[in-house]
Amino acid sequence: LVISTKALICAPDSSAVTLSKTKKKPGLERKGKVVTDIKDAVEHYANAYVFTYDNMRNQKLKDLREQLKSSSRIFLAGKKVMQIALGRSPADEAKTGLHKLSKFLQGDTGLFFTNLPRDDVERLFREFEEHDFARTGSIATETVELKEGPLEQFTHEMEPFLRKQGMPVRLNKGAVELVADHIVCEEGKPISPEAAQTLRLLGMQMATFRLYLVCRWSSDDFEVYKEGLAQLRAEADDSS
Amino acid sequence: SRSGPPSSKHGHGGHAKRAPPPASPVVPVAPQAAALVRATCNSTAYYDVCVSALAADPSSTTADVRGLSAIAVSVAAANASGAAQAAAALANGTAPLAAAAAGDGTVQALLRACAGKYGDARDALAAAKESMGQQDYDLATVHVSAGAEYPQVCKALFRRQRPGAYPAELAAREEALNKLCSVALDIIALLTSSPASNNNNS
Repeated sequence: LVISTKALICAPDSSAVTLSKTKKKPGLERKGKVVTDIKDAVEHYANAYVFTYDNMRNQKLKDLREQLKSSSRIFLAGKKVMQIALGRSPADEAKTGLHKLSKFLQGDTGLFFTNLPRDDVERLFREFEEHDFARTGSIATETVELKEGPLEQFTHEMEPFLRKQGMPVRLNKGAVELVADHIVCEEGKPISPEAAQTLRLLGMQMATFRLYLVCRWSSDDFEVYKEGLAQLRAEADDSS
Repeated sequence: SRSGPPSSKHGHGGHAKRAPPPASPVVPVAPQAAALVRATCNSTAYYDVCVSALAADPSSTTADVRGLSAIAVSVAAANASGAAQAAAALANGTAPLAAAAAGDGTVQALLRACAGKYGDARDALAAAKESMGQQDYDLATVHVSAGAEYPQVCKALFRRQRPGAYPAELAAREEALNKLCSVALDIIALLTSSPASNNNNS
């Protein structure tokens, strides 16, 4: 019995996948779109800023985007994606001096393109402030200490939950009572999961979402903002 | 009897000739160090500025690329500090100005603004040194970039209000500082563009 090798060679392999049928990585397409969008923004807006932030809250940023959509565009993308879009050197920048912004895109930074006057932008960023409950791991901005005694803001049903958060509580004639002084969190120290939950129950919004300008580019000018640099430095110190 | 000290009549034996000491092995530290400086400076936009800046620091002979980047930042910081002092001297009237500018109130105001900007550059580069010490090269990049930009504001202010009165001394200092910052940034970029650091870039 002679087996034809030609048949084996020509037999179709259903498991094979041609390269042209492979799907592109979704992330890659998204990054490409961001690059394109940033380049479009460079053409449509007269000024570009690098900004940094503290206690980012996505929904609040989304609201700001909506508020400013007629005059501005905000980008929060990966560092390299934004740098590539702007150009990293005079040789590949879209407009003169734009590559300088790339140098400042470090840490938690984003891009803000706008046609608003500089004074308006500076006031907008200076006045922007959104308060929210602190998250686990963030640094407490103040010491919160609860004194021994009744906790009138809580119903009796809350007592087991409060105890679970590490609070020394008991029920006294149907009212929640703190049997000893209790420090919820200490200024300058990371907030624990229990402390974060307790602060939320207490209604204490310790986190403030802020935006800081780092630098500004326009066709004939470039400016650095000391406050933004200081914030980047503070962020680096916090993360170290 | 014979007077004077007695003379020795002993004969001298022949002395064996000494062999030369063996040559110690030469460790090629200097050539290697020089090669590293040249290779590092080749990646910068201002090769000559880079070589002279690094060579001025004796520790560059034993430094690796990380050490060379720290030296470059330190040199820029020192330069900015000197420039800040010079700008302050001009603003305070303790350094001579061109005759036409001496009595011009606007020029005096511009010089005070320049002194402030060079002071900011000095502070930014001092912060960059700190970041280098903490091996936070990204933040160091930000601060060196800022250090390079502040003096540009000084030039822009004069260009807009008194183009002919921009002091030559400040112009020279601005150019020098700009080049030193550029060199520092280029060397720092070598550290952040290494294969190990690329894994963390988003």
